[in-house]
Amino acid sequence: MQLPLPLRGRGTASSFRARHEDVGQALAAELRGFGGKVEFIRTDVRREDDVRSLVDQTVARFGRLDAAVNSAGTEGKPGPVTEQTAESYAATFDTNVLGTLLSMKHELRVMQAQRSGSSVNVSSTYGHAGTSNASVYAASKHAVEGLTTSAALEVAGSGVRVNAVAPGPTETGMLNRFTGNAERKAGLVSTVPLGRAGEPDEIANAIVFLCSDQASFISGHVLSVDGGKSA
Amino acid sequence: MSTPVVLITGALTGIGRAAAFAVAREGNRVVVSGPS
Repeated sequence: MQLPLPLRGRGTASSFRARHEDVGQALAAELRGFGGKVEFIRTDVRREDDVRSLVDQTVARFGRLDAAVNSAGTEGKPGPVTEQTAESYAATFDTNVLGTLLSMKHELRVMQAQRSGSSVNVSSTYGHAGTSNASVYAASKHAVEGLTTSAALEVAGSGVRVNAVAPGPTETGMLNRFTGNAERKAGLVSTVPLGRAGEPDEIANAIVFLCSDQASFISGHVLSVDGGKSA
Repeated sequence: MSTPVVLITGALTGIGRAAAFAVAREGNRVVVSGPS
């Protein structure tokens, strides 16, 4: 998959905003090519006002919210426990945990009122197993799984479902940053029983399934999509 | 049943981007979101 160029590197906050806006609008335009209505809305998932506004604008535009995919996440700054700081903790947990919490808070508010909906979070193989040199990331994904199962119990009475996917190593920019070089990437991929990294589309297929009525009796579940890594 | 409305955060890259394509391909109404 071709990743958009502008999402890394140096720049001022306003230049990042402008580039994210450009990339987002280009994505929306490309997605409209499939024939459906698509909007792009910039959101900092760490800010509740942003998240509330994102959900409210979605409902204002389209009248309802049937499914939500909470895939905003960061690998943070991988490294040994002994090198972690309050800053590295916050940089990871603010996006992965607080961002997921705030997203679910506002999505589920709408879904409970309409008495239907499906919310899907993105965990990781490291959401239910430890790993060396990524303790804070692993802890954040363990938290995502705790939020997922707990929220699922809270909203089940409204007919709303909450689940997560737990990808193994997947061919993304995050995997490249996470491993740092080709040798370490190959080493991680060699731990996958199917012998390769997943493609983003393979994770997306599982997400679409959990969003859909095909998964109408599945809630509080964490679906591993990891080539057997958790087996 | 109306066309489903799907919201995706983190949609500019990686798994979120793939999910956005998968959802849009099915003709859903989609809101994609990326970093501010």
